[in-house]
Amino acid sequence: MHATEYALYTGCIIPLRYPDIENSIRETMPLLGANVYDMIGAGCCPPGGAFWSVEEISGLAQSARNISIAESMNKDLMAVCNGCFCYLKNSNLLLKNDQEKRERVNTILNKVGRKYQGTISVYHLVEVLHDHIGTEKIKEATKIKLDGAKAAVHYGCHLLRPSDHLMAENPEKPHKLDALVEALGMESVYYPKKLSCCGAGGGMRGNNPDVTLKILEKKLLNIKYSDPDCIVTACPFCFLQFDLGQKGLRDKGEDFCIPVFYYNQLLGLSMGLPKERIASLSETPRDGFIKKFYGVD
Amino acid sequence: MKIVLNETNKALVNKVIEYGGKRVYECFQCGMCASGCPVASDTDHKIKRTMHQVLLGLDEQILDKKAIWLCTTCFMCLERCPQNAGPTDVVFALRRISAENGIIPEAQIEVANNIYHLGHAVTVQKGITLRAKVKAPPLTTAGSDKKYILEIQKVVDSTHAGKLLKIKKDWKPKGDDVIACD
Repeated sequence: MHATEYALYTGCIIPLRYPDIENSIRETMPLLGANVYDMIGAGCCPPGGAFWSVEEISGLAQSARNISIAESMNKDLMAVCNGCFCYLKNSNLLLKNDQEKRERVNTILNKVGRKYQGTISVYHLVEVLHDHIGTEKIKEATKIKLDGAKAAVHYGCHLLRPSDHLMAENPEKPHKLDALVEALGMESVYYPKKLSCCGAGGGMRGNNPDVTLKILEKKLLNIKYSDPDCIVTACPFCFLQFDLGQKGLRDKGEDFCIPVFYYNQLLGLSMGLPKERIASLSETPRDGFIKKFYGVD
Repeated sequence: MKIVLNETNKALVNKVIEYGGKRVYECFQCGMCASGCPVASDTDHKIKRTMHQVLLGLDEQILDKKAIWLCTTCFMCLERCPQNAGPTDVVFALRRISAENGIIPEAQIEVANNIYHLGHAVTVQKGITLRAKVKAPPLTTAGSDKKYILEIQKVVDSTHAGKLLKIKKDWKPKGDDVIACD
């Protein structure tokens, strides 16, 4: 039996660029029996592209500070972004198993009145939904079924890899997000290179805007192969790349306009929650999808 | 080009091992890493070649170029390497060596300064406006209160990262774009 209470680690992009996604998480999870609580004062995870790329201990110490906040709440941490999940879970594992690193990190955290203890687990929202709550409960809780809708599921890299640390999924044949999508009545369609990167991570989106769009375009051409009604992901950085990246490609005269949803946005719409609060911020239009499948203007 | 393997060019591989690329010697150049790499065909970042260059001690060929910063850190190479040589770990190690030499791209500097000064990888004010628009509850994360940001600054100041990432005390964000977050 898993916990029904989680420390909600929102990260950076969800609370500050897509707060409608945050609302969708806050409002759907309790309806499935999983209560979420704020991690007050939590900072950036931090990402692999910057701090981890220059010095391991600086990444570890900041991650440990965030984990210590969940520890003080005595709740397991639920990450809602792949990047946050990857680096927080990796840090938790490293610190639990390496006494020397743990002592170094605690010497630093002591200066700010915090301590890493190694008492909690880090989960991704997909694990909580699939493993702890289960698709049966989701089927029961969703009144509006998306029969006939086709979804291209995008897992994103840092939910899957490195799999020996994350242990969230089969890295070459993941199934959890597909199962969650199908619990809403949709069909999760096959498309080539489904596990490939969206092209945003590691600093690529900032350092090389042309290459980031090139990688995204390849991904989108593969997605278009199966002509889906929407793209579904459970990572806000992948979401942002699909949302803003498609706009970037349209600005160059290309025809990419596939609606993109974070999983809980569809979950919430299927529960009858209002789109204004949970699915209203995007550059790539979604109103057509929402009208067609939910009958909402 | 003639390559002479001696103690001098072993310095690079030894440093890569010290900085996290512990299994770089296991590489036998099969190319599995490059076959799944999302950037190999569009950039100068050639992971199989980089692994070989480390073993040959060709530090100038790697560190003077910014190609290692074009990795998206997707971990596909690390996942699929039959030798478990950890190509992504080698890239991280090379980035750490490169940063010590003062080579670090603008996006990394921008994100690190955001985190140091705002508590988050992206600017906060725009986020607060968007939260009001969708009626999200008040922000409670680090960006909500200076006292949490000061904590993060103390943590970062206890490491070398501030210097390596060129964190400035009198820094102003360039804009509201999301630059890097994982």
